Amino acid sequence: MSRNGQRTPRYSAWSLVRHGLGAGGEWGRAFRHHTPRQAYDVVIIGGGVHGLATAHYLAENHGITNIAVLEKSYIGSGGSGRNTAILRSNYLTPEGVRFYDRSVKLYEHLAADLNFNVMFSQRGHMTLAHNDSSLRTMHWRAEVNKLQGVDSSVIDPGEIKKLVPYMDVSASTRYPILGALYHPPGGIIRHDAVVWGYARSADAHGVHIHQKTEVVGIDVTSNRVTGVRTADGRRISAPVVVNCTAGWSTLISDMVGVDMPVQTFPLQAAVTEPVKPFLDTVVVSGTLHTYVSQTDRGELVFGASVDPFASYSTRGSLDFVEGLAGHVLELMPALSKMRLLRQWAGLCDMTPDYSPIMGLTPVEGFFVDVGWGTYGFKAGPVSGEAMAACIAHGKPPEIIAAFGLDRFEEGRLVGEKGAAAVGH
Amino acid sequence: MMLLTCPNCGARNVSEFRYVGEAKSRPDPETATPEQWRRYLYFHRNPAGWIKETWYHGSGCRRYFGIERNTVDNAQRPAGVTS
Amino acid sequence: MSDIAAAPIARTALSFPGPVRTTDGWETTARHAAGGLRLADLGPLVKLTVRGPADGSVRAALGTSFGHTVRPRGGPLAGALVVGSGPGEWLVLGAPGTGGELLAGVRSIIADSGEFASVVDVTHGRALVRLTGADTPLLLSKVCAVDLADRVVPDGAAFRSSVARVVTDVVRDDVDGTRSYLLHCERSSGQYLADSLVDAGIEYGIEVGAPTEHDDATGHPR
Repeated sequence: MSRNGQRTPRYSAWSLVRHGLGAGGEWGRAFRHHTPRQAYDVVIIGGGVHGLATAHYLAENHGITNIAVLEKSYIGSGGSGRNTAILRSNYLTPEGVRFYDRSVKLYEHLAADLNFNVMFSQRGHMTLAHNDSSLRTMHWRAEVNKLQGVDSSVIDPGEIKKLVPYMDVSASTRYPILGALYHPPGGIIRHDAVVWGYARSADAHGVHIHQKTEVVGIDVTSNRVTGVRTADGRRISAPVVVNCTAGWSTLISDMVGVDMPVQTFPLQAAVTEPVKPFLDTVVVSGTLHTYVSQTDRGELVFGASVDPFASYSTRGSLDFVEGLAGHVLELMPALSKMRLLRQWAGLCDMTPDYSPIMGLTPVEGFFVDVGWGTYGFKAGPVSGEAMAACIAHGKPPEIIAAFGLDRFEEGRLVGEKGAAAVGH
Repeated sequence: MMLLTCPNCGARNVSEFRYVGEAKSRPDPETATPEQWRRYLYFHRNPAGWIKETWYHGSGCRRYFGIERNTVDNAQRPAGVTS
Repeated sequence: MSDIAAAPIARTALSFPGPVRTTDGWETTARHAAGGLRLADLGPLVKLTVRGPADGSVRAALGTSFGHTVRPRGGPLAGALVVGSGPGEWLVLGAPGTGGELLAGVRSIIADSGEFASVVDVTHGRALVRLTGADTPLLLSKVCAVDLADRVVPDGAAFRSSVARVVTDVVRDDVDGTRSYLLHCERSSGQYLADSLVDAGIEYGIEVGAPTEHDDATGHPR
């Protein structure tokens, strides 16, 4: 990798040993601080996995490097650092399966591509069925997945018990477990590392990452984007502005007068104290609105469905913890003595059809990659790749053609509701 | 637990209510074009700040009512009050 | 009438272990509760729901509005307990077997008012219990978030809220100076509500028993 001519040191076992022995001095910064230029070719708003991946693929695949990524806080401070880091591709519609499978494939090679250990653990992912109708949907999903070449099958309670011995698969529970959709390539990843890896790679290609730089206005002249204004009073001109925000996507689009079919809901999650490893798959229950995985540090990470009303507040609620604890104990009664370490919330931009909004807008030069609801993180790489192609060629590539903003007024909704939004 | 003030029953736990959504004016179904109707169905102002919205008190008076709520800090005031 | 009284033609929403008895055609528990905290099954009481304008002649004739209760001393509803259970919504509770008279009484009120109003007999579709004892506010505070202090819910007050997550009409109706509440909900949630109340009341020594004459919502000895 080159950094505007100077080489970016590669991370390797050898460099680890060298630094461990005290040679080589301090580890260099993964990405640098720059004074903003007056003009860029592309300004990306939002320094999360979507924004940074878009910058990375613009540089890597299309040779566009005069890019600024503007982040109002620190990179990965929004949805990218607040999700539960679950990856999978066992969706229901062929379009959804193809899209997310491309994402999982990119994630599989990401550590090598970015020279950054993203700690992707393909430990298997199981979605529990608690009634006949969901078991039927699981069979349907498994067949759709197999046709697309995705490893996915339905397993019975005995096999579930073998994979997760602590699970209560008895018939005496309120929601007995009848089976599960098992998806071996699914798993968890270190979400911060994905953000840092893309940032480091984009930086090496010459992309400027400006943290603590909030966009407060976007200039439009005769229906064409000309630049952005930041909270510190700068004006940065650019013919292309990309909205890669989550939670605030409506507010950014409002700046150019593009209406969004989006409502912002908080999604809460929680993590326990660390314990010895006992859970090496991801367990999801749509009926109980909960998903559980154990991190490499030993903490159990719990997620849920979005809060019941729209809000930009990221405060946690006792109501959520109560409900979550009840649901988790329904699955694994042995966890009753575990203590929660902390809880948090992230903002989810929900669309009417639970599919994202990607591509062009009525304002020339203003692109969107928003409306990612509760499933944005797992789509980070493929979204970056597709958005980069969309920006470079001025039209959306086939893989995201169905996700345009115009589909709402034209009535072409993409119903990934059944599978894309766990817990809805 | 967040409290929501019902005009009939007073402050109650928010779990007693169902969130209906932003208060919007409905286009006339007789004359609206499909595009106008879809805009009404799908598009939202979704502001970060005060918004007029509709809630339903399902566990109490079983009435729909309007309220203004600040979506940033969930502060509330009766609908119709302007700051 | 005697054969109807002797043979059960209906069961209330609640059943408890132990002996049962038949009164007024209703099979209820025959357990006897004598302790300081008692739950009684008042399922056999007549229950009517009335809907109409929140502030019109029906309201004036019923004599109470949302949040309050009244026991008419005369008129067509004499002896019943009229509860303002919602805005423009009333619950009329009467002694078992008085359904026909009360229904006719409310119908005459509606007819006289000329307002758009309705009355439905929901006796068999609802569950009704009375919870009596000094510790009832402590018990209810475990399953209901509404402040039960005298200042907020005095004797004779009524509200509807979530009790053990069941939508329940709660009526404060003290008996001889002892705290007492009537709780009224959909029949299918009744057993769950009663079980939740008993569960919450174990630490205060709750007992389940057949209603005594004091427990009758109408306040008249039976």
